Amino acid sequence: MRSILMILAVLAVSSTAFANDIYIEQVGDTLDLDIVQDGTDNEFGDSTTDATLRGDDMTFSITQTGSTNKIDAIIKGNDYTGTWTFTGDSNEVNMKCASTSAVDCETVTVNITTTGDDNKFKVFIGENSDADNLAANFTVTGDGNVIDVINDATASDVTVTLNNASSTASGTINNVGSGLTTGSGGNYVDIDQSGAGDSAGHSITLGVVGGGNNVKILQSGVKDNKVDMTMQGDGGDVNISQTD
Amino acid sequence: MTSTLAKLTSISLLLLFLLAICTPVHALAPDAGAIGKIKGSGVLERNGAVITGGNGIGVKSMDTAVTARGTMQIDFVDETRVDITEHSRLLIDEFVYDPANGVGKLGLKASLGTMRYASGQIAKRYKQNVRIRTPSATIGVRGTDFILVVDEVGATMVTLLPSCDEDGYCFTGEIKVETDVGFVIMNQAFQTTMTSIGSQPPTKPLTLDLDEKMINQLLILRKRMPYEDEEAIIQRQARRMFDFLGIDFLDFTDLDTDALGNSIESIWVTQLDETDYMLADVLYDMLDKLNQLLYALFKDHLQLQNEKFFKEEASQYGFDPETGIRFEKDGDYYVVERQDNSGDNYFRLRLHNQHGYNLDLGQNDWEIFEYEVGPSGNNNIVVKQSNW
Repeated sequence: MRSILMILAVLAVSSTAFANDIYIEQVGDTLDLDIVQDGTDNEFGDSTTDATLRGDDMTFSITQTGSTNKIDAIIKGNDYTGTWTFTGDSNEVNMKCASTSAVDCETVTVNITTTGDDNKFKVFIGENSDADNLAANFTVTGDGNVIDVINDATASDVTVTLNNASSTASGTINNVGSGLTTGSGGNYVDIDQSGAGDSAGHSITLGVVGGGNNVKILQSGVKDNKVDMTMQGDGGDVNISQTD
Repeated sequence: MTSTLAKLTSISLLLLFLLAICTPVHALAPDAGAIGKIKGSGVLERNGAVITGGNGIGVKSMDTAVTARGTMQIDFVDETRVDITEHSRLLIDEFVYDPANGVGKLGLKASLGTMRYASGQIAKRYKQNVRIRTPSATIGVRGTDFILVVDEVGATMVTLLPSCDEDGYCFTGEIKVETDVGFVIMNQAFQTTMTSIGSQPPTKPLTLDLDEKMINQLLILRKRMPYEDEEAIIQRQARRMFDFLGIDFLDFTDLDTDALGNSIESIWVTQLDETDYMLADVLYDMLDKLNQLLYALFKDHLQLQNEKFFKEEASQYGFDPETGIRFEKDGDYYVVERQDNSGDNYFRLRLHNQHGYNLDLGQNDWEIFEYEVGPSGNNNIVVKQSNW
């Protein structure tokens, strides 16, 4: 079954804040979903009721402009491509792919771009089931952003580009932990790539420009683990661990 | 009967002849010299026999002088003298000296140890016929002194020394040290070369800073009289002064001390004293002051230059096989990369050169801390790899 769902929610913000909440339960293959939300306090799913996208060959894109927007989504299926774009501060994303499902999560490509401060992105890929071939690309311009990627896919490529060059941030974000607490300073990146990896293995490409960026990378797997990081700025704290 | 007697006589003569020709030639040859002085244990090996060393014992060609815990002095008939120190071995390979017929030839083979040699008339008149061999080198003497040391595996060190004649005039001659594949010629005092094996050329001569104590441990070839005779030379010179001035210069007691050391020291002191160093000292002081002024004037600039130099260029680029880290410079970035032993884990850090980075890198039991990249900075990077 081919299903195309197009939802456009526009919130005109005047003197009073207003929120659009979207909850989707999609079943079927070849979903092509584009969501555009303007305003503040918009949500696509929430922490108690995730937006669930079930099926193969999905394309799901969302653009949120404003502050304190939120996405909670679960993707169950193969061949997912998503482009998520945020402009504003204090936005939050929680994305899971096959985290609790027996359905494979294979060939996932996520492009997340944000311009703003204090945004939080948490991506779980196959942490409880099989998953293959993740390509997650983060482009972050601003301070105090948190990127937390837990990836158990057998092959994954994560690209993170941080730029807070216009900031005077020099201190790193500390005590982030699992609570994804943002803070003053640069950006915080925590990437955990586990799983056996295939012939391509795991790879992380980091571009860090600006001060006070805190990067933690854990790679494990019997195949290749690669980290390629370019760094420019002061007060950075980078911790890379590659284990088998 | 007569016939029988004749036969017996013939047999006796034949036996006498055979006995005569069976006797080693060198046993009948005249002595090349004698042991002038011996201290401790030392022997002469001659035709399989061992002759206990003693004062006045004759020394012949093909004798091998061996010392253990002792020293031995051999005086040759041409006034050549050899002082052998402890644990040394020297073969009198060949000695021929017939001044009446203009013949002289000297060959020695030093196979182990340290010895002191003072050449005599052969070296003076037939210097081309003096040849000293070691297991790894052959030294041609061209009228000068030198040190020779041979170790247990035949490696040889040769050091050229200045030579002084009986009138106190010192000069530096020349020696040729050669192996099977090359040679060096040394003609400056205290030049030194070494040979390890015959199939390798001698090392390029270097100049050593030796003192008298070191020289006393070594073999020295000299063209002048033995060291003890220096006192006699001084006494003769003093006697001439006494005869001329009527003053008894022999009353001074300086000669009671180490005549050898003093004599050589005085030679060099005398030569150095011939040079007026006062002007040089003044010029040196002037240059020193000038350098200090220039340094004060350009100190800041120099420090900036040095800082830039040391921070950017003193680093070792390329691959370090000990750590497995490759460090390169790519435009405005330093590149630090490493692939672990298994080949599975790899990281590459491109670090902008305007910032400083402190790297702690490690794999299992191997760790390197405070690997500094770039100028001083507060970026801290820790990379751990654990896999083999």
